[in-house]
Amino acid sequence: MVESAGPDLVLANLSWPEVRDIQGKVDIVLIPLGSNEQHGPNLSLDLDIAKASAFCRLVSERLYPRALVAPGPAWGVSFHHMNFPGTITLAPETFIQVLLEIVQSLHAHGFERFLFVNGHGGNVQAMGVAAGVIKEAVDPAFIGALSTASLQDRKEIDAKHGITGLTGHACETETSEGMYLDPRTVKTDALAPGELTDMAMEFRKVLQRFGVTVPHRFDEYTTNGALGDARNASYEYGRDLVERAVENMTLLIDEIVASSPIER
Amino acid sequence: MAEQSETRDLMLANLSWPEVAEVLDDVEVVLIPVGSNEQHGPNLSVQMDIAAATEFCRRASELAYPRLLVAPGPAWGVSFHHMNFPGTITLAPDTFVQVLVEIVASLAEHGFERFLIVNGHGGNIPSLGTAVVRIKEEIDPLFIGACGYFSFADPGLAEKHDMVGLTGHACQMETSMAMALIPDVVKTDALAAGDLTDLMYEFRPSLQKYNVTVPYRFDEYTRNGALGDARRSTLAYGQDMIDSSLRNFVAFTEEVVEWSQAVEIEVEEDEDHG
Repeated sequence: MVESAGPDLVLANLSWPEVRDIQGKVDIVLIPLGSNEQHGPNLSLDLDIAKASAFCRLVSERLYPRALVAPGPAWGVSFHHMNFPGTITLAPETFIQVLLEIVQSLHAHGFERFLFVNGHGGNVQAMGVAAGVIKEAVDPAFIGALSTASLQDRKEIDAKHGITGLTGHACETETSEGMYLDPRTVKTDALAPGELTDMAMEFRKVLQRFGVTVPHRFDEYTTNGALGDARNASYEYGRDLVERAVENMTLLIDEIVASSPIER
Repeated sequence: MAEQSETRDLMLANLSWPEVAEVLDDVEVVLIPVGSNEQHGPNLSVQMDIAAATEFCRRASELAYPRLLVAPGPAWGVSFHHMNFPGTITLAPDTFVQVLVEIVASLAEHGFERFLIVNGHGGNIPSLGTAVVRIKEEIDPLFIGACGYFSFADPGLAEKHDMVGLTGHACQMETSMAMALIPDVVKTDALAAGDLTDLMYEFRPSLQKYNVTVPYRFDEYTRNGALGDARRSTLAYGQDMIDSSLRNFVAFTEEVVEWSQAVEIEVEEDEDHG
C-alpha cells in the first residue's frame, strides 16, 4: 500500500477549532464520491468510495494544507447493480440532494471552492446535475466534478503495462487501483475474469460508439458482475495509474485556484 | 400513391387517436426529441436545439416509416448557463426529468414499448442520464435510451470539409447542420465568430482534457454567446453530417429493436429446455 508522504487533511479527523485554524489555508474542498455496489468476486462492495477517499487523502498529503477532504456519501447511484446482492443505491434525486447539502454546510463555514472526485461511473450524470444545481443554489467561487479515471492518462499507462481489451468494472484496472490505494478491498484468492454476455461483446460497443446512454442492468452484460480480467491486475500498474492521477490533479487544482480568485 | 407513402413521416402531434391506434403495432421505437430555448449568439434563433432535434427525428421517421414515431418533445431544456443572455428559458433539472418521465409513462400506458430520447443540447446530457434511470426503475419499458443526434455523424467529416478548430455552440458545426436541417433558424446576415474570453482559451482546455464538469455561465467563455466561427459554415458540410447521421441513426434503431428482444427470446429458450 502507498506510503504516507506526510500529514493529510481529512475533515472527519479534525476538531472544530482545528477546522477554524486551518480554514484560511485551505484552497479547495475535495468531496469523494463512489458507491456501495457489487464488484464481481474480485473486490469488496465499498471499493469505489474507498478508492476515491484514499485518492483524495493522498492529494491532501501532497498539497498539505491546501486541500481538505470532506466525508463523501457511502452510497451512489447503482440501480444497474441491484441484481447482485449487497448493492445499495440512492435515487439520483437523493444523491444530488446530499451533495447539495454537503456543499451548503461547508459554504456556510466559509469554504469557497468544491470539487467532487468520483470513483463510480454510474454517478457521472447525477454528479453533473448536482454541479449545476449547486451553482444556482449556492454559487461558490468554484464548483466542479470529475472522475479519477479521467486523470490517469490511461492510454499511455495501459500501453506500458500491456493492458488491452475491455475494462470498466471490477477489471484489471480497478483491481490494480485497489491494490495500491486500499488492499483490504481486494479478494486476492477469488480473482476471476468477467463472464461476458453477447450483449456486452456486441450491442454495448455500438452504444459506446454513438454515445448512447442505456440503463442496462449489469447482469445483462456479465453474469459474475465483472468486466475484463482481474487476474491481470498488479500493484505496479495501480501505482502508475494513481500516481499519474495525483500528479495531474495537483496541477489541475493550481489552475482551478488561479481561475477563481477569492477575496478574503 | 405508393411513391408518396414512401416519404411519409410519423409525427404523433399530427395524428388522430384512431390513427395512433392503427399504427401502434407497426411502431418499433418512439423518438422523443429534446433540446432547448436558449441563446445561440447572433447566429441562430433560440429554438435551434429543439427544432433541429425534432426535424432530425422527423426525417428518421420518414426513412423508417412506420417503424419510428416522433412524440412531441418539450420546447425547453436545462439552460441555466445561458441565462445571462436575453431570451433563454430554462427548466430546473428536476422539472425537465419529470416531464420526460411523464411523457414515457403516458405512451407506455398506450402500449408503446421502446423509447429513445434524441437530444440536441449538451446542457441536457446529465439530466438525461438521471431521466433514463428513473424511467427504467419506475416504468421499465423494453428499451429506454438517450442519445444526441450530433453523435451519429461519420468520423472525419470536419477534416474533409476543413472545419477543424474550436466548436461547441453556435459554431461552424452547429450552423452547418442547421443549414441542412432547418435553414430558417440561421441568421445568415448576422453570422459572427465567437468573441472568446481568456478563460475559454486558457482554462477550458484543462477542463476538457480531464473531463471536468464545471457549470460556468456562458458569458464567462464568450461575450457574444458563440464559439468557433459560424462564418465558415457550409451547407455541404451540414449535409454530409446530417446524411451520415441519419443513415447511422436509422441503422442503430434496428439494433435497438434486435437487442431489446434478445432477452425475451433467451428466456423462452431456457424454458423450452426446462
